[in-house]
Amino acid sequence: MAYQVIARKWRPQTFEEVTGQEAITRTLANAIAYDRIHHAYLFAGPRGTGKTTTARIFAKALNCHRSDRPVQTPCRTTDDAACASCREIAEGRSIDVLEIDAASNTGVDNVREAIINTVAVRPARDRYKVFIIDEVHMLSGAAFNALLKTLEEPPPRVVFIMATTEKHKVPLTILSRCQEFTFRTIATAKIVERLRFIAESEGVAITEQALVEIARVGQGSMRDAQSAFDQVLSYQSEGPLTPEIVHLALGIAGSELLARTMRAIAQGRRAELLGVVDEIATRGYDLRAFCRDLLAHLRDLLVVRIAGKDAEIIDRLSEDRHELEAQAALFSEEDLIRFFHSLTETERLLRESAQPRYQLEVGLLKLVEIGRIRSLDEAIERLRKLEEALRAGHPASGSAPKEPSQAKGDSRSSAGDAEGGAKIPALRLVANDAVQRKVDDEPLAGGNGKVADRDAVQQRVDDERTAQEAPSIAPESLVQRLKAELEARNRPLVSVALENAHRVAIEGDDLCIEFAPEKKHLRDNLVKQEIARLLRSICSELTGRELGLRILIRDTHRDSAEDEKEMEAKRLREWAENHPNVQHVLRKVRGEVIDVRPIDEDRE
Amino acid sequence: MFDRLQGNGPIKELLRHMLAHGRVPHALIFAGESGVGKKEFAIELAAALNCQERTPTGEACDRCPSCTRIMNWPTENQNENRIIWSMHPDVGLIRPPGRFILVEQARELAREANLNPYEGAARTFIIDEADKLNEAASNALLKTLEEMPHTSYIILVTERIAALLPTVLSRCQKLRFAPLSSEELAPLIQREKRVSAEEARTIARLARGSAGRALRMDWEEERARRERALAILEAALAEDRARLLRLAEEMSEAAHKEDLEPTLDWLTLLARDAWLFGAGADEQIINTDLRARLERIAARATASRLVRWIEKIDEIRRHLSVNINRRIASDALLLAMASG
Repeated sequence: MAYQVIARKWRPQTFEEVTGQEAITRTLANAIAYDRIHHAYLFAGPRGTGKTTTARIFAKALNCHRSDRPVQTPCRTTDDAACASCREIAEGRSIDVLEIDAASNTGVDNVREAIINTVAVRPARDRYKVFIIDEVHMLSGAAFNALLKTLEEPPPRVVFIMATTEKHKVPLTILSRCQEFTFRTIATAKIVERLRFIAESEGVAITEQALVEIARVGQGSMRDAQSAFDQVLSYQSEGPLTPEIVHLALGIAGSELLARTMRAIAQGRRAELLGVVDEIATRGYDLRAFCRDLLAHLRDLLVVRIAGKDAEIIDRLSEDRHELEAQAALFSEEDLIRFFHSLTETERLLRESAQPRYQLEVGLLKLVEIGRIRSLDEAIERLRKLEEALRAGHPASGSAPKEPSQAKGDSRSSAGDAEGGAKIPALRLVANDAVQRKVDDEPLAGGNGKVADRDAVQQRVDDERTAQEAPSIAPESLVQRLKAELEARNRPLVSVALENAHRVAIEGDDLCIEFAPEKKHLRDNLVKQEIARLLRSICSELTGRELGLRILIRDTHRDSAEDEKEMEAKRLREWAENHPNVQHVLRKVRGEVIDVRPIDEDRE
Repeated sequence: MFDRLQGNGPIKELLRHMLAHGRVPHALIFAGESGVGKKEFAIELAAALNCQERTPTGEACDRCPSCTRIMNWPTENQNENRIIWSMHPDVGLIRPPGRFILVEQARELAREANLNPYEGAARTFIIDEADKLNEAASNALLKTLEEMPHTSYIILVTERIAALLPTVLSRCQKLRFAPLSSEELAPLIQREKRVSAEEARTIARLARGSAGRALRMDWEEERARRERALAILEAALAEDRARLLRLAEEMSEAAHKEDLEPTLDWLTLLARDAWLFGAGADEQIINTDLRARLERIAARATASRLVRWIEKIDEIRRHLSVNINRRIASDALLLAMASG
């Protein structure tokens, strides 16, 4: 008999033989048993998972001559006793089972001619007229639409089976008229099982490990694995087939080569890495495939690192696992993740690169560098954190954006924070023993201060603030600790609100929380008395002292024509109110600040 | 006989094995760099399948009427939208008439592949540049690739196997052609192009094992580009920004796609070479004739700086594919290189 590839020669002939799709084959067999045969099926799923095969078996089962009704187990065409119908279907010449290649007959005319015009004709000999439409996603829109009516209400004794790898290209109107079956990729172990059966039947000697390697190449597709198996068989026919032969025949990097690569990276042996690439290139291996294999290997190492070598999620034999563990021990988790990201990028670049070989070399050498510059990374990260801490905690660094209207009188950046406080046109809360709401938009008795004095006052104010405001807790950790406490008390919403705050800091004796105007809703959550109390109690626990609470909205879109005097007055008032002494007094007398005026310098 | 073709010993071995055991798959992919003889191997295989006086190893005799006609292809203008037939009525070829192989071509090929041979033993079709099969064309071939008549063969020839649809790949056996080694190529280049042995080796490495590419390469032009790239590296190290801007102008003056991108390739290659010097992996260096100057660069640039350069060049290349202003891009690149 002429040579046939394995995928064709060993195409399953009964539902039981279909590997890895038990749910589907059982459903179909039951549909036959209980006489509940739908008139339209759609088989979707990745390549090589058994869609066309199942469609043919189903067609055979519907029309098998062994019984006067559909059977669950149709004839095997290798049997001499196989019925005419099953035989013809297998050979693709049955007149009642039409297999249509939708990719070659995409147009509406093809559909009309091949399906719609013939559908009304009764089956010539067998029970059912079956249309198997393969690669159905390639039909044109008009062709799909032409099918709609027929698909919904076909004449009795007509069954449509459509198969596709790309279900998303099939219109919803078609999908809604079909029973859908989604074929899954097949587990490596099941592919191995099937390959082993084929190898035994063909009398091929092959080691278990070699079978596993072949099955892995399939990546869940039986046909891919079988094509690979064919290729290995062509490569050598004497002696048992070993993993090494599989690697050579398929041009894939074996675990040995991957291990060599990982060791070279760990030891920083760059010449060795280049040697690996040289070997891959001269053997004609696919560089991108190697890159992907290495990615998969990195993933396995990561899994071993995290879950231990006995983890079920690794598709490896046990002797491999010790090797994996040894390699995983060479790297930290972060290293492996960084390698993965870097290599993913390399893989992407390889796709378009004019010089893929050198791209891969550079990509691998980069991994050596990544291991090396790690400490630098950490240092930078720490510097960044330090910088942020400074910015958030120290008023002098002025985190508030400056506004055009202020640019004039604001050459000193130290004024930034104080002015930031002034940008609260609408609402401010002063938390005392009871939370007080205070509307702040009435014009202040501003304008009393002399312009000449202003700068001097401001200067003093700033100096004082800077001096007395060495925060006892770094702001960064303050937020973190607040959040931790809140979460411990099961108040996630408050915690989220804090997270979204523009700024959280201790200013004087106040915990100051600022929100951008668009986050006003979050502020509204915090304003509730109960929550304010909660926050204050947490603060006192954390800092060991009683703190007030200020929740502000910081308007960054202030009208630039705002009167400068008013600004100044507000700023002053803000400062005064925040001053611990003033607050102390306020608390004592339960009072309210009505007016703030600058005092003469010498009257201090 | 396969031995009339250069290199690729393992492939010859494999094809002989397949022929001798009658195990030639009906759907094959020949993948590998351009200019390593993939199509020649495909034609040779077609001849072997149809040969009237096969050698004991099952190979084509290259002499019988069948073989000579299979190796004889029309040279005058063909209708590229149809199958191009050799002088043998059972051996044909399609190739992209434009950017893609059209679905009509694929359908015609599928139709023809389902016929019995007219006079030979095997109808054999070659799809050249199979990565140019567009989606519809690929899909139109699926059923045929999977279940071909016993007397038909389709060989897909491609430089970019990854560009083929997974559904196509899944139905074919893949043969990977290795590039020719620089040692095999260098003497040929030296003879044909009259360059020094050092330069010949450099060209051989650049050509990535493709005889075709090596001989097509305009070395004078490439050398000028390389010189410019080297000047850029040196100026970047000296932080000579004025000179860099002049070089950027030069680069984008001739800034057609044909010139800017090869210069970028050169920059990457030279940076890589300098890096390798630093890594002590001398034998992998491409531009062996520039050893002294590369060594000077390597001495002054740290490995991480070279890596950053390479990354920046890659980034520019990505941006070029979306049509940015070339002048500004090259200015930005060179200045960025000067600053770190």
